[in-house]
Amino acid sequence: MRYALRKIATAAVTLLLVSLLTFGVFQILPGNPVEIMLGVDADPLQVEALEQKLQLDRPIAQRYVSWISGAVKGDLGDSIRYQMPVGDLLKTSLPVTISLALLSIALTIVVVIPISIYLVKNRNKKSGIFLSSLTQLGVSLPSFWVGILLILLFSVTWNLLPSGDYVPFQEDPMAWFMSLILPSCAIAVGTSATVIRYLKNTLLDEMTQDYVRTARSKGLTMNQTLYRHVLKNALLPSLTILGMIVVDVLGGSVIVENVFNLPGVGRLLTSGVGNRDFPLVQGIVFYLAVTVLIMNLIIDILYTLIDPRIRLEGGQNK
Amino acid sequence: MFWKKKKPTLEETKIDKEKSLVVENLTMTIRSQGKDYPVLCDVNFQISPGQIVGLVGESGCGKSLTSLAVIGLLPPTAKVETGKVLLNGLDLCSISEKERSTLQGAKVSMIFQDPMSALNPLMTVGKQIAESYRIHHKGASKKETKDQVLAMMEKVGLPRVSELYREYPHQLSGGMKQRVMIAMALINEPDLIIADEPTTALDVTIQAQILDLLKKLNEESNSMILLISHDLGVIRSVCNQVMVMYGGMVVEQGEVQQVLQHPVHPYTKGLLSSIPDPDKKDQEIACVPGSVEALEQRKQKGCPFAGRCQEVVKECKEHCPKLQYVFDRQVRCGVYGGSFDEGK
Repeated sequence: MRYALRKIATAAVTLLLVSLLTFGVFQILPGNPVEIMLGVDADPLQVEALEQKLQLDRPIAQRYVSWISGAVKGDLGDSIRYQMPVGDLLKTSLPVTISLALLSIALTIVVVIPISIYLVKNRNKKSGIFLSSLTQLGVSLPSFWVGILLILLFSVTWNLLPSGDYVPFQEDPMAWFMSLILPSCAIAVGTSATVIRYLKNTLLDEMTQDYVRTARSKGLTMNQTLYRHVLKNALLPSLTILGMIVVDVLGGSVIVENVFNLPGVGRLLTSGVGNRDFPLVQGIVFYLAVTVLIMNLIIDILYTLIDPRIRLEGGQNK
Repeated sequence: MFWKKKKPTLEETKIDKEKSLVVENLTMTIRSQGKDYPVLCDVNFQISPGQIVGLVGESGCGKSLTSLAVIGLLPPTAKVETGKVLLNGLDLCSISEKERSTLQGAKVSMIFQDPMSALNPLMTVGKQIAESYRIHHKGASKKETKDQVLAMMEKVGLPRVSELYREYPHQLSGGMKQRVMIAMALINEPDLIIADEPTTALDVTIQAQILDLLKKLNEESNSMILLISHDLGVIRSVCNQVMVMYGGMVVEQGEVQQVLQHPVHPYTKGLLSSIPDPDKKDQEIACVPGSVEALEQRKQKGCPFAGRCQEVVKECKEHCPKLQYVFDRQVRCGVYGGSFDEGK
């Protein structure tokens, strides 16, 4: 219980600091939304009217306070550029980003474990060394390049899959899935290569542990030892890396969303920054901060589920 | 592929019912930086049912490699050059890895030095013991397995077993963990148990309890135990036979009483005199000068102990002595090769 309270308190403080920071950055950034909307040589009267309408004429502190008091009530304000509540904008783009994130993470998880184990078992064979160097390549390939390559092959040359254009799940699950395969793959190449390289090394480390020898002395084969004992121990550190990747993807992969023309959070964020659309950017940053906090909480809980030595409150261990 | 080669059953491994362990002319090398270095040279010994054989020596003398060769868990860099390890008549060096894994845990099992790290930290104690049982009892039901595990846990003297079953290794004390290790090693009633310094990591009071337990279990089941230790006190109190190893060779081998009371080989003498004596508080503790040489620096000629031996003669540096019977034990020493009287 004390753990939960402490977590909530830290979360609140973090969110407050994040919102202050974005607010501050926006005051320093050159250019303002009115100028962008009306052009540099607009009529000063028009500018004044628009500023009044958007409440940009009020003092900074007052604007911040009114924003934060709205945010507490769940109202993130209206976007200047789109003239729509930020909450609604997020609501339409979030499903895209979340779908993409879930699919690419699922793909990553499915691929990572078998490949890492294969690499560990064949580390001295040619096939293992070859695959290992492929993962090095995977880490260094930029996702937009992989994305374009995938579009070229699967959409243009073979005409197998759509090159983007998101279809909501509710409309047609199959089309939804098809529209997301290529972008998820483009993301998963990099993420899985990163996690594979990490997991492979932790697996190799764990293999030298004494409990592995104990397991072998019981009569378990190498395979059984790997799956029943080593994997779980090695997964623990990889979980942190995976958590960071999930946050990254949930933040909207700006480049991949642009390559595949997906109306996700990443695209919304670029447009928000470009138009100096403060409420929109503030809203997205707020969403990102919440995602990071929730993800960290999930990782914490997963840790305690896997490793009995870790307890949330501490002090219970003998 | 793995689905073609199935793990053979115990019956398919053609192992005799009769218990025995015979190690014949075991010679082994280890690969280090592209070169093979001899680590075990012509090791011979046997254990008969009910016997506890001790293996003594400093670190790096080949004790652990000998034991790992017997259970078939040698590191990939180690290679058996010649020799046999016959467990109940079956040569463990010539069978496949799958066959070996059928025997591991069932016919031969091992208790390791450090129970803190030898248990998987993420698995409950009960599950780890149960796993040992289930690998070798394929058809066993969950209830049968659990009953067996609980009975075994009680047998090795663990308290409140049904709670302990669900606890994790970090919740147990060192002595309890070692009892768990013993339960794990004994649950399939193996013919041969290898105990690699089972008490080194434990408090003195717990040491005695664990040793008593091993001794008692050995008497009950008439099994064979190979006990590795560098503590001569431990060897004296539990073993029937003892082998003293140095530089990958057995230097003295015989009945515990004879060898430890009247040591012949200078190395055995050195080991015995380096046990601190409470009556001689003010005197300096005797020791064997120098230390075991690194693998790469060992000379290929002469007696391996020649460099540290206080009774060394010129001959020792030229020829490696043979292991020969000196009255009631075997000794590998050029100086004491012929007569027993000099040894006293």
